[in-house]
Amino acid sequence: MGVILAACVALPLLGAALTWWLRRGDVGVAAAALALLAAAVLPAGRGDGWWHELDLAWAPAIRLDFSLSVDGVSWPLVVLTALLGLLCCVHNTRAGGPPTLTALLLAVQGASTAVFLADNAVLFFVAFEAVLLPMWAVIHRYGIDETRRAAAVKFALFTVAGSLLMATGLFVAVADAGTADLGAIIAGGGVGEGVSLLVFVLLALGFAVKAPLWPLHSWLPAAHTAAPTVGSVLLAGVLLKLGTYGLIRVAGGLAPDGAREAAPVLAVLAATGIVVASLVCLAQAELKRLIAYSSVGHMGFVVLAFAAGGEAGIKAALFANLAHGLITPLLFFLAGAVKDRTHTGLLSELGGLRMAAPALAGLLGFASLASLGLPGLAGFWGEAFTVYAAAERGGAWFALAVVAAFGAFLTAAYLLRMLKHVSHGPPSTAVAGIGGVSAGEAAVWSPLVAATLALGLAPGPLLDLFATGVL
Amino acid sequence: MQAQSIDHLALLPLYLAAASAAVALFAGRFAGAFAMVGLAASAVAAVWVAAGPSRATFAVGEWFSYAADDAAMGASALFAGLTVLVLAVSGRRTPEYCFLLAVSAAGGIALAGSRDLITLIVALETLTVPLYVLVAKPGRDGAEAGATFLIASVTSSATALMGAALLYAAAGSVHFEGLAGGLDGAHAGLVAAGVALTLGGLGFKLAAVPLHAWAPLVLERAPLPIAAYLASASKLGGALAVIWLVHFGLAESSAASSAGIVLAVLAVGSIVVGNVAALVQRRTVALLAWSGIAHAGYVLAPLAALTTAAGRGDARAAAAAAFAYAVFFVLLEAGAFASLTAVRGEDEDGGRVAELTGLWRSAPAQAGVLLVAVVGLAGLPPALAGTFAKVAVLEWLAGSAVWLAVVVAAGAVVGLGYYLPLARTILLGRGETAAKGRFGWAVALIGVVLVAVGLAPQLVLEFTALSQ
Amino acid sequence: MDLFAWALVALPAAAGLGGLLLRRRDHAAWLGVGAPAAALVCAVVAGFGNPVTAFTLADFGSVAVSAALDLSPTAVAVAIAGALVSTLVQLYSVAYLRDDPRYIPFAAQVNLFCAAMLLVVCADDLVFLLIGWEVMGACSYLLIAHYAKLPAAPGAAAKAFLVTRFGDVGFVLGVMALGVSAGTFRIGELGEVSSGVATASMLLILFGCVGKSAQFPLQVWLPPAMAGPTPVSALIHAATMVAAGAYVLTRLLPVWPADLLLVVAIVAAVSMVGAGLCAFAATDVKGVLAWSTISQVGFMFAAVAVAAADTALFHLLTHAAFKALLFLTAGVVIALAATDGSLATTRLRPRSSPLAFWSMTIGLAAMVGLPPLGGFFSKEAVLGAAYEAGTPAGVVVFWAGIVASIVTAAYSARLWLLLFWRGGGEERLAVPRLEAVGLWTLAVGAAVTGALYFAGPLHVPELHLDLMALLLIATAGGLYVVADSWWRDRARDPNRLLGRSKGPLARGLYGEALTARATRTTARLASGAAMLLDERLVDRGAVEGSARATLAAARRTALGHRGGLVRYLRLSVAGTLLVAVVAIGVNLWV
Repeated sequence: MGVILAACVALPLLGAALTWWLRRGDVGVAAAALALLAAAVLPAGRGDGWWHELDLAWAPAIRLDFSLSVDGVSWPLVVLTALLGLLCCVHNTRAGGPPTLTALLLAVQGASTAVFLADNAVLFFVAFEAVLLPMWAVIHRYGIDETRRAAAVKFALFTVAGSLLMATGLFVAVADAGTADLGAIIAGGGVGEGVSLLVFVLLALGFAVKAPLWPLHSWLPAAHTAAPTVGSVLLAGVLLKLGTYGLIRVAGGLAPDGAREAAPVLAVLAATGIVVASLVCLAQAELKRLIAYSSVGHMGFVVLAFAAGGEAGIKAALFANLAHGLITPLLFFLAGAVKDRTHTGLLSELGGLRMAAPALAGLLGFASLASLGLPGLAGFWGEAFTVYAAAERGGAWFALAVVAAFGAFLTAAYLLRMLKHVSHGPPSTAVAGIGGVSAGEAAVWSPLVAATLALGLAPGPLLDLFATGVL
Repeated sequence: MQAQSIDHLALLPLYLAAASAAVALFAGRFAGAFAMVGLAASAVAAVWVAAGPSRATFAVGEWFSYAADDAAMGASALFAGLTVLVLAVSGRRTPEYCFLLAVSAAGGIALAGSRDLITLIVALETLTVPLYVLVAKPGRDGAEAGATFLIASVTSSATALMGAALLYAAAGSVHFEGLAGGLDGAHAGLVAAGVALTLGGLGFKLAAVPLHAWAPLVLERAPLPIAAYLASASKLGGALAVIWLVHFGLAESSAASSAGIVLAVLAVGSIVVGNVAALVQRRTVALLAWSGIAHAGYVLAPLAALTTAAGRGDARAAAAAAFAYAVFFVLLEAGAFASLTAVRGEDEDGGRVAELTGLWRSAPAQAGVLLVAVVGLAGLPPALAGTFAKVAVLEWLAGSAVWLAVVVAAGAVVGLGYYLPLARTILLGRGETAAKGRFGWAVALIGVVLVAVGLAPQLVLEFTALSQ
Repeated sequence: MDLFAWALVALPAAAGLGGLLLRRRDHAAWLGVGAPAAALVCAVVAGFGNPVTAFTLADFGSVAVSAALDLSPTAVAVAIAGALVSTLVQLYSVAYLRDDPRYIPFAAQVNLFCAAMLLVVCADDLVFLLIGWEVMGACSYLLIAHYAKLPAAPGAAAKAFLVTRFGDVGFVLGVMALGVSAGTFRIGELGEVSSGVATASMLLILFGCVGKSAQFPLQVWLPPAMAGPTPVSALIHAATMVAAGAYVLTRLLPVWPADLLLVVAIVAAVSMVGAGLCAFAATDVKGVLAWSTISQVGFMFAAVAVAAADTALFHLLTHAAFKALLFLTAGVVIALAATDGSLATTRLRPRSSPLAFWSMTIGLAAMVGLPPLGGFFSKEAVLGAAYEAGTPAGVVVFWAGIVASIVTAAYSARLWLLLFWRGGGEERLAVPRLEAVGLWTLAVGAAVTGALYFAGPLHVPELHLDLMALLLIATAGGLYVVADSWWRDRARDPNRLLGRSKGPLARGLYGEALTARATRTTARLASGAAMLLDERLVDRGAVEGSARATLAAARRTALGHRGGLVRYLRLSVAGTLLVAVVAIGVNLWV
């Protein structure tokens, strides 16, 4: 199975190189499909803990091993990454987008998969850094907004600052533990108490930039707004997950003591983020920017759940993380479709989508309902049990539970406002006469819709999977 | 007086380099070819010697003045290789030119093996002196560059010598191992002054703050191949000098804390000044020169953390990290300057950054190497060489001085602020200028080396580990 | 039997989700009617076995959510009512929305709604229940916004969803607090929780129920929600969703600390009387019915306030029957009169459409509580329970109930008089057959639900003859006042009895406008502050400010190095000296 693990990482990267070399998008689609297949067969022959491991020496002098492993926590994210990568490649190829963009998307996918699978601190860092340049190029070169250059630079600087702080934290942990094997450090109960807080703070700072946690989020709205649709999808569905995955698995795993100590700060920031982001969304005039800010709020839930801790908190965080990775990409796909057709993302210029393109409006409504945490859809479980986890801690944490619950209300408020502007009312001039949903679009979106529904109705299997994970 | 037995095998690379210099002087139009072959042979010899057991020679008691261990031989091979590269991108030159470069390389190889202060400084001067001539292009600019470099170099040599004298006064020995023992009882102020002046002076070659400002001035005005040499081999010399002195001499002595403080000031100063000033540079070479100052800071940073570390193992790790970073860094610099020379022409200056617009379309191979080098200097994958360099430094700093790691991280963030636009300029846009795209083989060679050390960093880390 | 329990929820849910994908109208219609009908059959069958079934839905470690259904006899009764009304409403809609291009999603959404309501009724796990609870809210949002051409619809829909969701902030918190304390979300296993937790969580849950049931002070969403199609009003805003709040409270009655029931009583009292007065002043047909719904749900809350769960459910059932009837009839009347539903213009001769007339008459009579119609028994039961309770809460709701009965009689009589006894077109108007089926069935239902008192699963207090008399006197009083006013001056609306307060009451004492304005202002201020904090302070201030500062420093540094050799030497010497001095100084000092 080690080969399959390597294939999950190598196939997209190979596909990226081939796509770029041959200038053919369909090669990329094929590679992404194979990667998804590889990710899908990983559960075969699994046990508890690590399912499969692969360990090859690379550069022992800097403790770098090419070691990959997969468990119940990382596998869903690997599949999500592979799925979104495939959907983005299909979307781009079908829309006649440049093959180079497909290649860059695959590079992002490959590197992100490596992050999720990495079992070596140095490899984790290298993979984490490797995501940066392709994504920067996606925003910078293929952005759709005037601000794309500034947005790309902001994204790059924030990310690299975060990842270097994270690297410092990782290496402090490595120095303390004497090994760079993440699984071994986690299994050994993390780093010593003396450096635990330091390690956690450094790691959390790094991951908080990526997640993003308020107030380290300001790269995100700019990047999302400027990025092309597929870029936004990957940003929301995959890149933010790197931050939360790192926070939960790596920061929480390497420095559990530090995590406990820092939890209140993290939680307060997360709660502030939920409320501030929601309020900003309430006054947001641009569709993609609104969705981008909503990500800040949703990720606030993830971080709050993680900070609250306990089994329920961790599971809620992981679940909310994954749910966001399905719902927000769907929203971005839809927003992209709206913007492609109407050439505007301004809420004031949109309206009446329900009349002009009922299916599109219906899907937008579905995605919005999912995003606002409607029970029965994927967004609910994570966010509701964030409230539970915070309430479980009792005391002042209950106030955070209240804030989170209120944040969910605000989420509903701004999404309904968005729907009111986009879907309802008489069709605006920009919206009038736009086309409906094509079969290709439906094919790209339907897996996300189906998964949102499936996770919402049957969260059990995924939660059980999380329970088997190494945390 | 007893005649010393000299281990000539240990000196083989040095002999070969010196011989190629001599041959080049008489080889006429084939000077370049002969010098390159000779230096390549020197590099091969260095690798061959390194493969065998560690050798040392010129012993005074138990202390050797010249060692041919893995680290020294690795560095020697690197010196020779970098000089070959510079010769390869120099185009058709006079025999004197080749001679001077080969001499300088010989100085570098001597430096790599040196284990006492005198050998070190002499070797360093041998490395530097030929460059006084080489940096001076015909014309007013060239003269100014030459004069600046000369005066700056003399100043710094004087500073370093002064420091060395103070250290000798304090320790009573010029051998590194003698320093380690001899400084313990010495007057603290004397030691501190000696350490500060020596390291400050040696830092000149590395273009570390405060003796840094010559670099942009000289590199910008020197011929591009010489700028490449200054930015790679010459800097490696400076880095080695500092690392050798600190690692073999000061780390274990009571001077370690002074050295740590001095190096911390030097490192932080270089990182801050280099990165910040590079942000507003509009000319390619000036940008690389300023950023090189920042990288000098990254090289010194691991050594600076010595104050907070303790024990021989830690000192070795610090030196290894600094050494590894220096090697990766000079390889990347060599790649950047070599490809820049290839696209600009060996007699031109580096020009404005904007003139590289669309290079990717007009000269993809050279642009590719330049891109790998720039991205590597920024420390980002897929140019893994740079990433591993950063890993090496951060990994050590994280275990010893987290604050310095944070400074390095902050510096790298600012660095991205100018490397990214540079990379973007190369990659995007429509090229108006018909770039020359010459020296395909030389550029390809350094490109292959960069990719190779990226994929197999152990090649470098093996000999930079300083494992004795 | 378990299979039927699951099918009861799953069939309409599947039909709802699948219906969204349909393309043909007739398919949608068949599915629309078929699914709730099938659910009705399931409910009836399940009524014979009362299955309890559960499996773990989501295991969060310290607590698990189970998909648990408990079809107790009372739940079956409510489920039957819900499914029946849904079926009739679907049937009615086939005719009512015959020209509507968006009928297909409408039918699907009604089915989805029906599934959600049945889930709330049958669920035995609070989080599982929450799924239905909120899906119901979302469906009501979609259905209220159904009319694309109605400018008020999207706003009303959003308001309905948001107000209920605002209540759900409390509901979710309460549920979670209960779950934390009890270690389970199963309603049947909540058992003993500490009184502090019970107090806090039940107040929070009450807040959610108040929102869902449009009780005071969260009543503001219901009147505007009448922007939805009339069948929707019948289904959601009468028979099911607004009653769900009361239903959930009855399920949780065992957890309630007894002395806290006074809070419920106050809510119920204010809602009963206040909404009744508003109904009396309302200016359009559906408005009267909307306010009357709030008032009638207040009766259910009143029963809850005296811990009489079954009595509340009894009133829920009778109310479902007569209020669905009233709304559907109102739709018919408005359609026949071809108006927008304003009381000023809508008029119909009884002879023009006897069916509409008699349906409306039966419905209003049931609501007023004239024997032997359903409403009479259920109201009497509520008052009887309050009377028997002998608690402060009982006293409050008893007297409020009496007053509310007077008001109910008054506004019902007013509506009846204004609709049918002011002339109108002479011609005979036909009610579409599918709509007629609904009216017939519900009219019969409204008439006979009182039978549940004598034969049903509900345990309600004995009949009190004295209370019966009191109730009838109160009702008669209300009727008399309106009739008197009517006979004095037929040209004028009897709501002039309210005098100057008529205007404000017709607009719900401006509650809606005021809250809307307050909410908007708060939201604008808050989001303005957030924007300021986020974009100005964090983004432009801290982030871009530091970038600007770095660039400025960069320019300064570059400038400082300009000046050739001399500047270079100065810098070098100064720098070297500085390094030396620092090194020596630190060394000597240490």
